[in-house]
Amino acid sequence: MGRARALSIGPGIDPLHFHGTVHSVFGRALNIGLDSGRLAALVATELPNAPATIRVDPGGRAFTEFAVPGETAACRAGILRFGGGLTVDLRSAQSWLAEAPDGRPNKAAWQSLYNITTRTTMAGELKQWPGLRICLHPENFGDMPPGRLIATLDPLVGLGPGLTPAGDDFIAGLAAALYWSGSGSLLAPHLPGWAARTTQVSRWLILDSSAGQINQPVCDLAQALASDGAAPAADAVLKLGHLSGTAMILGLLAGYGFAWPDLAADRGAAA
Amino acid sequence: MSALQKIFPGMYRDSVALMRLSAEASELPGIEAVSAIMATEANIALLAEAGLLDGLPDAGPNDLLLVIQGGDDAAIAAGADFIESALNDTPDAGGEGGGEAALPHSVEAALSSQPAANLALISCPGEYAGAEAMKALRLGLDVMLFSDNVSVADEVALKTLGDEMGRLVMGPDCGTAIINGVPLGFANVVRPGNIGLVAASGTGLQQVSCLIDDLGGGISQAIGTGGRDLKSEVGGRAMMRGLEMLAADTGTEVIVLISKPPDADVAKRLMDMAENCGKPVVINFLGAGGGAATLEEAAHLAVAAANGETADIANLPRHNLDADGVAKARAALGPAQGSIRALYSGGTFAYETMLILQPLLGPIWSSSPLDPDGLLDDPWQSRGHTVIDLGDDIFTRGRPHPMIDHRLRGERIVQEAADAETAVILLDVVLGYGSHDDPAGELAAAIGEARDIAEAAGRWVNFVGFVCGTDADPQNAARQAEVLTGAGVLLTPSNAQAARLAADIVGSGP
Amino acid sequence: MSSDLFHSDLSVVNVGLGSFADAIDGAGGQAIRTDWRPPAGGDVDAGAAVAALINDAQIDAANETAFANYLAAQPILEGVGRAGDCLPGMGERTITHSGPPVAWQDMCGPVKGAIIGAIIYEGWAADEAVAQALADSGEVTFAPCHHHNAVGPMAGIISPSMPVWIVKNSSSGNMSYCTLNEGLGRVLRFGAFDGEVLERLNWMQDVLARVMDAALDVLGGIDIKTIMAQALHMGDEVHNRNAAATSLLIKALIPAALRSGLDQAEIAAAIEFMAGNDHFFLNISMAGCKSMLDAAHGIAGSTIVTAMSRNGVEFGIRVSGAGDQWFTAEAPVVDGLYFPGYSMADAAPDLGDSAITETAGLGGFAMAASPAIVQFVGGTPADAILRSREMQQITLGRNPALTLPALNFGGTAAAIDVRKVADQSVLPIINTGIAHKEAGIGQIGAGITRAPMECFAKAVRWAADNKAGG
Repeated sequence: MGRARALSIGPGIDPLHFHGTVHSVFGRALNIGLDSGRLAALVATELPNAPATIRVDPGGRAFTEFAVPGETAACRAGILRFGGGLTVDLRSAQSWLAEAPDGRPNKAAWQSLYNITTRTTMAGELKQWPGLRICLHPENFGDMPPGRLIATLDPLVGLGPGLTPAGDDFIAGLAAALYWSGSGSLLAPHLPGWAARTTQVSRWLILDSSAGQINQPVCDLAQALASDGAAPAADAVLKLGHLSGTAMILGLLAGYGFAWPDLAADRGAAA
Repeated sequence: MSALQKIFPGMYRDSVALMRLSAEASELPGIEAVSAIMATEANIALLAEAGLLDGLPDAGPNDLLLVIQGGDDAAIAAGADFIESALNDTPDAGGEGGGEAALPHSVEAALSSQPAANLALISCPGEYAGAEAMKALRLGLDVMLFSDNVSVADEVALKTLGDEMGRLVMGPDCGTAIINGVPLGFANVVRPGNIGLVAASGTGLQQVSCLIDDLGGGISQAIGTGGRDLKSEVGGRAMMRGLEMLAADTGTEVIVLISKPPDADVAKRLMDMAENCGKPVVINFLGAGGGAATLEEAAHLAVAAANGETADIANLPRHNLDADGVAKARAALGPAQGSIRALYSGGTFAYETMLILQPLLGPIWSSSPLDPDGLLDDPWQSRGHTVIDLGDDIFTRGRPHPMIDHRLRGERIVQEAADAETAVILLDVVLGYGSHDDPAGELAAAIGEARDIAEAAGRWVNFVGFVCGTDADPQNAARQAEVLTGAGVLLTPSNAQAARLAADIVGSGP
Repeated sequence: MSSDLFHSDLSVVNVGLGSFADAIDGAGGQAIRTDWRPPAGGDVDAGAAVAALINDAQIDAANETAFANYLAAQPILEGVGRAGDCLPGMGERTITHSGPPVAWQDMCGPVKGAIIGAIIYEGWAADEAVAQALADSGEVTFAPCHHHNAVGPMAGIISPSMPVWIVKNSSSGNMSYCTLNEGLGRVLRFGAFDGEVLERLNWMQDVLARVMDAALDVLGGIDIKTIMAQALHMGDEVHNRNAAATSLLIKALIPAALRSGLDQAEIAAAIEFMAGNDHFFLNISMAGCKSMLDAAHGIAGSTIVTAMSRNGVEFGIRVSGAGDQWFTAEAPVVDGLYFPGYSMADAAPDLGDSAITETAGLGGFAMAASPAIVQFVGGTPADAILRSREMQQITLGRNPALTLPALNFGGTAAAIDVRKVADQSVLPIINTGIAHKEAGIGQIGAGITRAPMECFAKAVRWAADNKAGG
């Protein structure tokens, strides 16, 4: 089956020692359900760094050739071995950690990103889900008291289409923004409950994001918001999944909007 | 007489399998002596000493050497055939067709075929065992190193690396462990429960786990550290790691530490750690501190703590024979008969018994005595009160351990019975995985022979013993006890009680 | 950081007493049985050295690099040239031989005979006596072919005037060379040096070399790996079975030779010569394998074997990270099948650079492609498959360009790691011809042999001593 070397590995996995079973396999990625309860992802080089994600060069092969669901996956002393024979060397993988952006978003950047995102076809698709329509209005989060924020987010858990339901992606983006703006503790009491109610993949997405650990493109986007134009960085996020990226950006905007209500003010003509 | 010498180049079999095979072949008609060994220097020397070799064979440590001596060529040929077909009858033999099921030749190869492997159990010859353990550790496995004759330097290197990697190293010379309910090495089948053990003594671990089972308690995990762990050079590393793991283990509520006396600095470190670990810890350092003076006390204290009670160890029974019984046993002895001869397969039992008997009876003779004054001139010859550990290197050179092979102890039992001084013969009967199929049966035969010899000389010899095991063991403790009682052995529930009963019979008790 | 042993299902690798595994299985655990034997053939120090090398990230990384270089190699047969002009560092009084370095006085019969023959062929001496004196005098420099980017079968003698195949690795540019195969019977490589032998050598230098070079020029070179890959699907293992590869070679060369503009008679003679020798491709195979392995040589810290070779006295291996160092042991006498009238008592110890094919994953490693070979040891076709599988245990990986139909077209096992050889006490297997120990008699048998453990024991000790970080 071959050997590969990991390029980078995100937080949430012990790079030396773990055990699990292959959960699902796709063309450019596979998931491993670890004994610890987490899902770890093995992804092709071109996919971004993220928590519990190992990036590896597949040498031109599809991941479907690497392993099948149900197979053992065990890491011992930094070598990950699959029951079907693939080995992945984690020993020289770079440790990746999400870095917080340098500062708060500037208003023009926030509004530009708002305009870009709310006009995408994916945003249009989200509109088809009544429960998700609130996500399309990040500008309304600026004057929410904390209690109402929680009440607004609660029904979004596990809601919507996708491997990671769009509602969870929205919450993840929002949670990251709150963490980076220093208000992470607001969501903390509710997270265990929300995590328990959704899919295995989303559960960790929400928990990790609330600690500021979210995929690299979102980090880059947050950094771009703090400096200047966000359009190029937005592309990288919009490409994630089908609706996931869009929902995450909307959450990010909403979270920042909640923390700094001035961001959404004087928006000019409505979309 | 005819002889045959044959070399099987590159054929490797483990020493126990070869000894068993040789023993079986020696029963064949016309065979006088058979030895199948790996042609290491040490083994070749053994054969030469035994007069089985005709010059130096052209064989190395990875070659199997077979020597047979017998009455005639036909008998020898039959013996050779028997051995050869047994040697070739392995799951990996030949290689006709498939070969898919060929066994891995190394720990690394095993890990490649079974990525989820998480422990290596190493029982190869000592000169290679340290290196095998190091490989397993570097590959990210926890290690149980059963082999002995591994150097202190290697042990320290292994345990240091283990600490760095967060892995457990049990051993070297670790004969017993129970991890996640799975018996490793010589272990008993005991009830699962919430008491965790860490022991530098295999038989100590076995006794405490079985007594806990007897008392209605259960074992969460039983970790072996190897016999040398609590020396200063090694520093108690394995016991500390075991204690740390049990302290963090949600399945463990009470912890027991068992060892012969540690070096003082190590004992102190362990006791400090135990006090601060957050769970009740029962310590038996066999006379060197800790709340339990005997293995039996340790079991009682542990079970009580697990039940949230206190144990009244000051009032544990002295033993299970009433005053009449003791008097009867005494009365059967002749005037010359005053000595205890304790013949143990477990070294910790021997030690515990010496600790118990010395205050009661004075100096005890032994091949590994408490005081240097008590060293026997000839370990094969008892005098006065003698306590012997038949598992000691002196006795096991070239033969399997007495827990597997009872012939040596059987011979010694007969020898003691023939000695006019002997009043009591004291025995441990250790059951569990790895031990002989039917220790009681073997002993009963030897005891019968011994009684006949004593009787012919007009003497009665008392046999006192205890069964270290549970009914769930392959040998079934209850049935083993029946056989022993049927052979007239006075059985007690523990080694401590057996020692005290023996002392009472020779007239030291109240 | 505490062990997570208590939270996982116990899966125990059992090394030693088999009864322990039975007990674990009986109690509902998982026991992984091993067929363990003392590593490095029982050498305790070498075994300890292996332990220090297992799972070493730097060694593993170096090995991956070496392996990648080997896989990427594309040896191209470009032409034929004069040894003295092609082999780097070959002085005009140098004669190279197969295997590790060996002094003239210690050389075995066939090698000495071949050297005598080469000296006469070069014209440095008129007869055997003078040639012998010249060799004794020290005026001729002897060196392993391997030290001059070359390989040679059996005695492996290369002298400056001899024609050699020129092979270039188009991936990394390294060059390798080998003599052209003389054929069977009384030949120089078995130590014969009579008139017939010398006449043939001269014809090869004058005619054969020219025809070959011209044909290759027309073709623009031949991809050696492609022929090997096809030959593996046709019953060859390109060490002791070369008939299919030779046929494929001839097929490619004939049209090119015919278009070369050379004399018809010479072309015909060259073709007849090739067609009469089923092992003609062997020397090209050897140069091609050397090309692949030289690309893998010289990677600091790597424990991959880049050459296995014998000189009739010693068997030596070279290791990628060990530079020019040889790790040697006494060359074994091969216990194989002997031609009628001959036995092991007549045999020279193992001889030749042709084990470079096994080193590259061919020959004995590709035995599954050529089951007839196992008849040399009374085996069955199933045994041939087993041997190829067995070699997977001691190699880093498999070569997807060289596949074996009998293994479901899986790649042949390639890149021997000295650590794995020593750790498992599994030795590389070699298919080999057997030479008579006296010069000039020729091949007297063939068999299957194993590289000696001592070479690998020395290599792992070297590797442990030289480990980065101590």
